[in-house]
Amino acid sequence: MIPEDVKIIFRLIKSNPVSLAGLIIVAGFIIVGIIAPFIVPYPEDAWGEVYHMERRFQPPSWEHPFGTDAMGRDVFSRVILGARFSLIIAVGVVGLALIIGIPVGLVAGYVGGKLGTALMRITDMFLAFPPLLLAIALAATLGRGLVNTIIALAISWWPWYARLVYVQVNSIKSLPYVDAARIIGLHPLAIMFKHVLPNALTPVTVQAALDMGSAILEAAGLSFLGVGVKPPTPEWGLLVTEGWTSINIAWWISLFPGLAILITVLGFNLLADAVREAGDPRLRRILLVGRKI
Amino acid sequence: MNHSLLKGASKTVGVVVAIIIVLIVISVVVYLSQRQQVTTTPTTPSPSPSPTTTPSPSPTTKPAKKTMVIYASLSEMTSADPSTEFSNSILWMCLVYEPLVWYDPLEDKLIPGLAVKWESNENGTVWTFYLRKDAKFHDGTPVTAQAVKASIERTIALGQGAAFIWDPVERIEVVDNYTVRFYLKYPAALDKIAASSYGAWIFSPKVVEYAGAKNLTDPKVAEWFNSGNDAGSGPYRLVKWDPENEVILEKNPDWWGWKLKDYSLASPNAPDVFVIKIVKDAVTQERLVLSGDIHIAEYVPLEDVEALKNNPRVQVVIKPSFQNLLMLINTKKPPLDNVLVRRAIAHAIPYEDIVKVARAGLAKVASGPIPHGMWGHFEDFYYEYNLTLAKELLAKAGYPNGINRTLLLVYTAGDIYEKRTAEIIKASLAKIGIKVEIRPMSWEEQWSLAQSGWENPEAAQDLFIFYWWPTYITPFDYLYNMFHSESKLFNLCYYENPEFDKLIEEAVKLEAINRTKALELYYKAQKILYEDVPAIPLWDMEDVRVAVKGIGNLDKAINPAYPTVIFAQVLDVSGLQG
Repeated sequence: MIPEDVKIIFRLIKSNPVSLAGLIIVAGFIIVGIIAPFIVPYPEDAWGEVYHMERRFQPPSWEHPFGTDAMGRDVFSRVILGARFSLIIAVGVVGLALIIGIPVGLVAGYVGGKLGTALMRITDMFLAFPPLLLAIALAATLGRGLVNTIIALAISWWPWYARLVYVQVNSIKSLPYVDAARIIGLHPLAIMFKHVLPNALTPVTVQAALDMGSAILEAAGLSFLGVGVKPPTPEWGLLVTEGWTSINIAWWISLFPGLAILITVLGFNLLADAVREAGDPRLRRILLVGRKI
Repeated sequence: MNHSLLKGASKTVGVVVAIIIVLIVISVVVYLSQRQQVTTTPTTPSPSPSPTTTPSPSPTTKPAKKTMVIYASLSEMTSADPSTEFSNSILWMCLVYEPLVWYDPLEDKLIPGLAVKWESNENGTVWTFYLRKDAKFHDGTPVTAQAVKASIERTIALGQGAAFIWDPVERIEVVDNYTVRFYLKYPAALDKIAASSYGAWIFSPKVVEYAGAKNLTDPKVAEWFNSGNDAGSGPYRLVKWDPENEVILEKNPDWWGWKLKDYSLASPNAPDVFVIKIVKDAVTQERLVLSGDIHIAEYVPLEDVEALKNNPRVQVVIKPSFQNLLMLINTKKPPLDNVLVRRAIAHAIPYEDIVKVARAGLAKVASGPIPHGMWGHFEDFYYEYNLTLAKELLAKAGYPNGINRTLLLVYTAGDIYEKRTAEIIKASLAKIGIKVEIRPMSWEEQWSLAQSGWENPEAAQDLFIFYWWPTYITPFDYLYNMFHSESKLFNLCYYENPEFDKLIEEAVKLEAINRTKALELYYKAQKILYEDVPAIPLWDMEDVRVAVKGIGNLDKAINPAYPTVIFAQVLDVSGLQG
């Protein structure tokens, strides 16, 4: 992403309340995720280290804004701390998937030939499985845990980035400026990373922003199905499961983590929308012209 | 220009709103279609005018409406082979097949099944069973001594599932058509064994013919069973076999039990059709029973039981269950090889809290590995929850500041009761300086990890949360499987104590001839376990079933010796109209 892009994105967001809401949600999520361990009102409850017989299944109150769960733990603390795990998962999954996917797509697209075909066939192999199914299978094989969940999701995710980059690079590599770079004798690696990649990144960024939300959702799904992170880690999906059996007497245990997932995923989707609009040449022209007037 | 931007913004809003609406519509549609699914399955016939009150043109030719009871089971059915089945399918096998005798463990009483009378010689090594003469298999062939011999011999020959219960049997003799005699290698309570919930079913020897097999042990016979055929003699016959979705049983009008006046295992108003529907979620089961779409729920969320008791539309039946939860300790892995550490752990577990949180109070704190209500249970084996004592014991063991290693506690993923139990144990042991990592695992993973413990105890888990329930009702089943040094499969404490082994081996042989002496030995054996702490019994489950009001005799239809089974032939559905 070039700075110009970032500027445009921000301008776009500022002028669009919906995108602004997305930005605020995402920024809030990231900040909460980072500082969560220092702001939770009941840290021991949040980490699931204790249980309290005297305050089980309490409805939301000032003391416990999201109520308490079957073990008497403060749901608010657990949801707040859950933001950190969701953040780690979102960044971890998308980051890892990008690290694998971009080089594969880039090399396959730029070098082409047999190597390119081989790389893309491998990618296709992964794409042949429905992503969540592949992730469940992997998570079940790797065993439960935060890191394993991230790895499982990243493995089911990188092929999408590889494909995306591959398609972009394929169309960019035959442009005259790339030919020019080749003629003046630049190293292929330099051409790939300095000249081709930056121009192929916009759709990847949009996809990545969208996937942050999906990663949270799928990690929650894995935990809900019992193959994700280990209890008593307060991961949102796991919190929803925990409340499920007592949903008839204590709706709050599942509702609030569920809402947290909903709002965060919505935030990422709105933000991704803004990024996409910024990357759209037509809209961009409108914006640039608008600035001149 | 601004205008077009605004347009863009409103477009985005529109898209978001549209997506939300679509989502709502989809969820409503999905919800409705699920409801539809449930309601389209056969439900109880609506109240039909009874022939006596309504003048009907031809009341004699009009077939009576069939009564039906739908039971929701949490787990899928497994196999349909009565010789090898050792899992969920006993749920319907108990209705389709019959053993020689039934056992009521709460009354400690045997009930005649296919046998009307039985006796043993003085040392309990020769047992004679006299069969009833009017019992017939569903194919019309009479139940004879030959059939009994063939059935049990097939079970023994296949050697799978619960075949081990017949281990004492040396040979089976057909005395006459309706008398069968067992000669044993060593004394055993064969009457109780014959009442086992697994591996004791009698079936028609004609299955060989039906399956086109060479003999009874031919795999073709198992195939024939597993394609949904039954060869039993029980009050119901299998009419639909879809083990992952539903199993339908229909009344066998020729069953001998309907004709007896005061047989405790039959009711004149038993349902004509008994449907077992697989509903894999307790919350859904509760909704279905409240809406009347099913009649009996196997599991409901335990927290809701209090409210359900006051609901006028349903009844809650709570019975003891012989399923209990134990924490098996890896006695070969330091520091748990030190008995003082194990005792410290036993005193650092808040048993009452676990029962309240994990089971919403619907369990009893365990006293020894033999559950409440079963013979062989004693009230002397509770561990006191006392953190000071626990700390003292730990200090005496040489760990005044706690253990410097994190213990690994494994449990079966997805089991909410085990999960909560594990979390409380983790929180509680932290108080005496023992760190615990709890790891949910699939049963297969858990099992293979635990099996490695005999070879390499260092690599296995430290603590294992584990359910047990008996194959047939004897304390030996619990004590041998989990604690005898030769029981490599289930002794996942890796516990070896020759004195204990000898005690229970002696006790089991005395069961049939000298119950008092057997009890005395079982007491001693449990006392050893209490002091050695190879495992910590946590709670004895209580069986909770919720049913619609019209189902009568539900209490009598549940028997802890046959877990999950509803004896449909005992139910009274005359109150089910409307």
